[in-house]
Amino acid sequence: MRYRLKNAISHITCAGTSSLIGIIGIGFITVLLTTLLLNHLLISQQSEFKSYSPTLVAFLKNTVDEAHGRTLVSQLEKNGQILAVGYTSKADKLARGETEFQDLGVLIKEAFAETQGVNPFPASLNIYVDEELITRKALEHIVLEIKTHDEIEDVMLTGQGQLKDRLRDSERTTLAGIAVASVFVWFIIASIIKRSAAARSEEIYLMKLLGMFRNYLLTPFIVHGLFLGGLGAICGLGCFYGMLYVFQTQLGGLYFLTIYQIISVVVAEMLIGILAGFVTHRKFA
Amino acid sequence: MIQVHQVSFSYNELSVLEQVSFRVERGEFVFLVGPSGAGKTTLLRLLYADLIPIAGDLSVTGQKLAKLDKMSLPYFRQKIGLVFQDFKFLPDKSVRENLALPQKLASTAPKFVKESVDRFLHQMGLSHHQHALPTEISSNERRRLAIARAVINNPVLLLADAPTEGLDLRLSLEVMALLDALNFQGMTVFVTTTDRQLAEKCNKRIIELRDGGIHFFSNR
Repeated sequence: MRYRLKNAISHITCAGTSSLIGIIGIGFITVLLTTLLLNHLLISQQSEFKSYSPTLVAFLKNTVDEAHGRTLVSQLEKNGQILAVGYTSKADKLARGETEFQDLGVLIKEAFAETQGVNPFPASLNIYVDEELITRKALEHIVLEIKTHDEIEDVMLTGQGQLKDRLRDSERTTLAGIAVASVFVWFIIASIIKRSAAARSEEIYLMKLLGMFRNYLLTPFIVHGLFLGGLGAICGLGCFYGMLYVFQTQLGGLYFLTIYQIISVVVAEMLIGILAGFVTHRKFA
Repeated sequence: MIQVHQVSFSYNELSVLEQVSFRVERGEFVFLVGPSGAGKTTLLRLLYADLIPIAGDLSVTGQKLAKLDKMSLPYFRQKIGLVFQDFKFLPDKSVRENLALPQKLASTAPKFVKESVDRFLHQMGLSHHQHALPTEISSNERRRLAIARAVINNPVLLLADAPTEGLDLRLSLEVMALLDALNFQGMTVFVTTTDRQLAEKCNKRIIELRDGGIHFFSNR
């Protein structure tokens, strides 16, 4: 084992500055990949946070009373694309204002109680739609249909649907990014290992003549791949964390990948290194 | 030990060996003599399966070379000791490391590697040079190192390509005495040389290779 490790270290040193350039290249790819991953995670977290909010909120006109509003609810629920509709009265809204707007809500509530003036909060309908199955166009169609009712003042998209769209887009971009990054990392690692093997070609030829087993050569190739993939990933993540730390005060609210995600990135790049080492080894052994 | 039957080989259009046949028995010491370019090194490379013949059958240490695959090739080569014409040392490794290489490749335990390397360094008179690079020792010492490396794994067959090339008669006989001692211990020795007189002096079997074919056999 000691000989194999020595052989592996000698293999790594044979690549010389190529290994260093390779680590920088892999680090750069890791930074780009981490940016994509972090973007996807942020959108996914926003989406999860808003997953219980309705897709649409339809505000009722001030003239519409509760009985009328509830009739409208049953009418809207007949639409097959709408999952559920919830009615929130003006009084409920006023009560909720206290929690939602805190001091301002308390002030409004007290003013309403003292003066018995007009409640500024409109009654509304919370409309839930299955966004996994519905397209943006269909959602816009539902909005137009709701707006045709005379009782409706306005319909608001809460952004939950848009967030889902962004989530799908970022999912696609991240997957494509992972594929492209994997190809580039593979290419960099395989090139450096080949370069190192070419520098040792005479030594490898001699060892073959002296009865070297194929797996004797496998160890340095795989260790080299592991080294490049692992160190490249760690350097990239380290640089990204450093940048995030520097810009955190300006941008605020940013956070880094979790420990499991960091480990996944490092392990994935190490695996690519192992595979690249294994495939390259087959050409030289 | 070695069976060569109707073996032909050519480098592209240039024919080097044409229907060469001979046998070497276990425990024999045989010289393959011939002028430069006769195909001695090519024949040796065929014997350790570094080249593949275009025709004919080769059998070495009981192994038919045509049936060798990538998995069995290392086992086959570990049974053979090789002395190359240009020695093929690792230039950035010390004498000691070069000598230990075949044992490391055979996954011998480090303790045994140390023991046998020390023994061979002592036997070959190279102990005082063990940490020197191969380029830092004399030509004769390099030759002894090459022989030591070839036999450190105790092979059944030693193939030596021009081990006396460039040496005067006294040093050549010294090398031959070393090879003879190995042969006395039971190792089959197959040596190529351009020096026919040396081969005759050693009183061993001679096979002469000329113009791509066998021209002469002597039975001592």
